[in-house]
Amino acid sequence: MSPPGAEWLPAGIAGLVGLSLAVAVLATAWPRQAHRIGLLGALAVTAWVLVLSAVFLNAGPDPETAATRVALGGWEAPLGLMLHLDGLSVTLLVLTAVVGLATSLYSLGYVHDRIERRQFWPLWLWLWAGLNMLFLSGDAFNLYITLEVVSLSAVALVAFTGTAAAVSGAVRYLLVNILGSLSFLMGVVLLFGEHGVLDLVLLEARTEAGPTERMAAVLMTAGLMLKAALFPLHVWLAPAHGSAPAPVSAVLSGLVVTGSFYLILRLWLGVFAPLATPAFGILVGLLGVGALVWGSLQALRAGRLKSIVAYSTVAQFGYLLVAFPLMLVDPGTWRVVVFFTVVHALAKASVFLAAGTLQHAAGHDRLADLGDVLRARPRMVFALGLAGVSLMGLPFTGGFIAKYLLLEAGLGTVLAGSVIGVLWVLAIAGGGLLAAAYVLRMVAPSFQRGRADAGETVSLWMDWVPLGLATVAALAGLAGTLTLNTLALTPGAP
Amino acid sequence: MNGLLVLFDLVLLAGIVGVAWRCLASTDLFRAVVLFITFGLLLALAWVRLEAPDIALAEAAIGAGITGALLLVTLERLRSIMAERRSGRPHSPPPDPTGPHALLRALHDPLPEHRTFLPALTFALVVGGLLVTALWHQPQSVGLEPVVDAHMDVSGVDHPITAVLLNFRAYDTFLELAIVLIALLGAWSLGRHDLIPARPAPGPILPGTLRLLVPVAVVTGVYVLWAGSHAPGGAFQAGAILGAAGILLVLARPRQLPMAPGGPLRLGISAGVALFLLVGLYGLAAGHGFLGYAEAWAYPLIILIEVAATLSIALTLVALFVAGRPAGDDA
Repeated sequence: MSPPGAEWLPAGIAGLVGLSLAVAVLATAWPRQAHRIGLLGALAVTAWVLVLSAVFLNAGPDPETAATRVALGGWEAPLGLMLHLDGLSVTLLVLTAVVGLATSLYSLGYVHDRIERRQFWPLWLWLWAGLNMLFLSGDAFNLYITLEVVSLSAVALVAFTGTAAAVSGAVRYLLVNILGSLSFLMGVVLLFGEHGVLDLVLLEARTEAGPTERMAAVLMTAGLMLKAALFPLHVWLAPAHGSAPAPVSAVLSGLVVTGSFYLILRLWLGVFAPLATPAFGILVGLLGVGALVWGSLQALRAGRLKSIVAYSTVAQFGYLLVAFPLMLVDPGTWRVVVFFTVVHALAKASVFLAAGTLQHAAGHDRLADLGDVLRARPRMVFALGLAGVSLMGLPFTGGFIAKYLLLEAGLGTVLAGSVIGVLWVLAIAGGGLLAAAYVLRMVAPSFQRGRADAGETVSLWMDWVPLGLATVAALAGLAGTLTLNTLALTPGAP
Repeated sequence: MNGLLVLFDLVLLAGIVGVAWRCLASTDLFRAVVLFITFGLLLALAWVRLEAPDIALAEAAIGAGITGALLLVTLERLRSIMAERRSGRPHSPPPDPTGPHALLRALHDPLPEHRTFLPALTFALVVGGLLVTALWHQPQSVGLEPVVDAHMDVSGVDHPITAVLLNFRAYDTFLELAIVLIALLGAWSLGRHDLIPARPAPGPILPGTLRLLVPVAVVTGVYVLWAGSHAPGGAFQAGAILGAAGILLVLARPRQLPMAPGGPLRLGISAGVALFLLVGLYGLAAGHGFLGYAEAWAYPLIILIEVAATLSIALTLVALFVAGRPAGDDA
């Protein structure tokens, strides 16, 4: 049997959507077996995504025409809606599969109560399906609906332990999400009213820098920034991510937030590209510096392990904003930004999973009292450290490559004569130092003398999965060239 | 345009804005909910005036009807929680932190302060002004109407809205069904509901009304579902009407309601999504594309999907009204 070729791609893309939906529907209808369905489904979806990406890369596509578009139901745009696969979506699909598989394995140990399991798995599988559909969507209105699938299942997962803190975090998260979605939808309506099409490729061909586009850009970007917790619209993040169950926090910080950011990037690379001006870039960059400083300071002050991790997400997403002005000088920088997002998602998910194991073992996650458990669980400390090193950007990790490339782009702008470029360079370098400070804060108690007490026993999955994912995050540096080359296969983007 | 109609539109517009304002400004939650229902009905009228009867139906049934019922029942539970708290049993053990009650308690945070009022108003005016400006500059776009009209003969149905929803953009509709289902899964994950005791009403009026209204609602629901293939109507509207009949029964409950069995209930709520997906996967395997139909089979398949979707939507809405998951679901 010969491996499937490029002609298989359209069926493969629609099949991926069908498969992930089938897994979610099956788990919903048959909750008693939901965890088994979930595990098999996670393996199947991951395998499918890997095959799909291999076929995509193997087809040796031409960067100008690399996108594969699938007309659902045989109806081409503008009548029907199209799925859209290119280098950017392939990268994020693979990321989702890796983090999703790790989270699923971890959840086998973490969600062990029979009744909780029945509630958790269907929601998680819907969330995963929603993310896959989001990354494959090529239609503005469909993007709104997939965003809703993602947000609603994410909100339900935050609330699902049912404690008062979790529920109030979830309600806040729900309100923010609704506001963000409505704002996004208003932008979609404006674009449709002006151009009469919803397909992103057709929209891109028709947009120019007019008042409708400006208004739509503001509404959609603001809505998505709210959903992505980009500074200064981040206030909801820490309560929601900090009080959710560990696998949910990992997925929220690793994937859901990334999904909204992906959409911002996708829109500004395509439909809104004519609107980007240097002044706008500087404004976004300044917000990024604010995020880096504010998020890091909060992470340094927080008393709970999971709060530190949640605030570090706010800080790390500052890099993505700082990169905006760099993109205006050297458009190719967007690929570095995506690579950074990928590494961040892997590292952040593993930190959250490790934090969940520690919390389970100790019964709480107050940093001041975690020393005993940290000292008795070197594997968790190692996972925290390894992922943390990647977040800081020390050499040979994925984070290092990403930050090195960002710094290079920043220095490029300085050399190009931009004075404010100095600020971006300082922010990128300083953010790494601040990250080092809060990562060390997390692992420091394990180096002090004191009692060692492993606390509650944890299952094998909870013990090993965080370390495995942290290793993947560290090794992601080796896949840097591959990722950047894959991302180059995105037509329309510079 | 007819002068009387212009007058009607102006009054309607003023009514919508006025009711919305009163709803937001009301400090009495019950009054706000009632005003919200009124707002939904006025909005439905506005959709009629905009010649969008499908949206008008959906707005009246779901936006005003079902949402209103959900808000009212939430309010009732909120009141009973507050009454418990006010009756002041400081030494009684704290209530179980899990379950839908926790959600209600979390919702009952202090009302927004007055000093947020001015910034909120400014923000709304600025965004509203910008939106109006942007809309002012928009060309008189025909959207996709000509494209849809050109494909009506191969869509399998005679009503363009149904053709778009169930054929040309079936994927979106499928995901909307999924969202309703996810909302229920979320509500169920928060806790179980208690046994619902009977509430026999004195006198013949309530049982008599029920006996008349429920069959009428069922017939109307089935009609709206069937009409969807050639006139305004369809699964969401029909599901809302059937769901309303179910909610009426839950509210009046002349007898103790039986506990819903877990397995069949799960099948019922996911039937719409499951059948839709099966048809879609079959389309992919048969070469019509994911969520595509062979032209000759389009009509029966669309009807089949709509029937299953109606049942699932009705069941889901009733289950959302009851809120917690039935004990049978944990078995």
